Amino acid sequence: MSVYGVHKLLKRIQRDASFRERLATDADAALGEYPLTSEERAALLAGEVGVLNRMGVHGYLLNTLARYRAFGMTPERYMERIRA
Amino acid sequence: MAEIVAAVGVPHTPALPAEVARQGPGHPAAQLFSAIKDHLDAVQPDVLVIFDSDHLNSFFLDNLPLLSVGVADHTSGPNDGTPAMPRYDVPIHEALAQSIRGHGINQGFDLAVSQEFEVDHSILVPLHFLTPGMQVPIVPIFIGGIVPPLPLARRCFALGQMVRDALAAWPDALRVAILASGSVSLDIGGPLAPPGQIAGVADAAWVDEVLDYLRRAAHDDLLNAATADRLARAGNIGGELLNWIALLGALGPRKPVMVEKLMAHGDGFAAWRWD
Repeated sequence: MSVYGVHKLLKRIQRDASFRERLATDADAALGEYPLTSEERAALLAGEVGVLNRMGVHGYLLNTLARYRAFGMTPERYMERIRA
Repeated sequence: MAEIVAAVGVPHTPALPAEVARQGPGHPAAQLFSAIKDHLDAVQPDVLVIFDSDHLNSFFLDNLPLLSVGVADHTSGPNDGTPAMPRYDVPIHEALAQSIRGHGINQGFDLAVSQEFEVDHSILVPLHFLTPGMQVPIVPIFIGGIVPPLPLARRCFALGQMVRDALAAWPDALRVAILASGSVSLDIGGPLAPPGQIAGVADAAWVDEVLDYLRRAAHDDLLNAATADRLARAGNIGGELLNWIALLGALGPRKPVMVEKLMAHGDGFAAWRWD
């Protein structure tokens, strides 16, 4: 269950519109509020959802990135990368 | 004695209320929900006991029960922004919920409790279509079908059997319907969704296999087939089948009066009647 910080972040993105704005303007600072490993942080910033999936992030929460275009994610890119 | 008078299994796809609002009663899911509603209306239940998997909306990973009962006088929701749904307040039959939980613990089920909680689309989409007046009190029994490791199929079946016994031990006359909420095969945001879809049916053959077990009341065959690995291959939401399996435990070896498939989301609609 090492990806707890990622799951918590994804839930916040689902629930908090002002957090989504902060994420869009200053992702570094917004991510600083969450206990992420350097690998998790790098994968999030790069939108590497396939890597996050293999780390154990649940797709039900992970697809939040595509829904809200967080970290520049688009549905097309998400579908392409989730199997990567 | 509380008497089980019907059981129904339905999906809870959150897109359905908006789709049906747009397309009207001709929408295939609207027609199937309507057929299920007719079965429920015909038996006039006093209570709906619901087997459901919360989607990390009532509970989160800071404190995640595997099996739990909502013991409160009401709940509300949806708390996850389901499109085109009003906010509902739903009565809970608190005394019956408490009794089922106590009976379960005495039978060896370590049931967690929640006395204050909201619910998400997985309870309210079915109720939106089946009891839109929210006049029938519910007893929500939560099975952790979303985050692996999942409870075993046989354990969930036994949970349903326990609920049947708990109802039989209830001192007053009460007409109970059982509701199982969930898809049979679905992957959301994972690598098993079909190419070009973020969410979709991971394993169409599994849906047919499961519905065939239901039609034949081949419950033991279903329990043998529904291994953790098999459920995982049905998608990251495939564990919702455990809610249906708990329902089967509650109703015993009985054939359904209706089983229909709606493959768009790996869904089944089924009804069992006692009359």
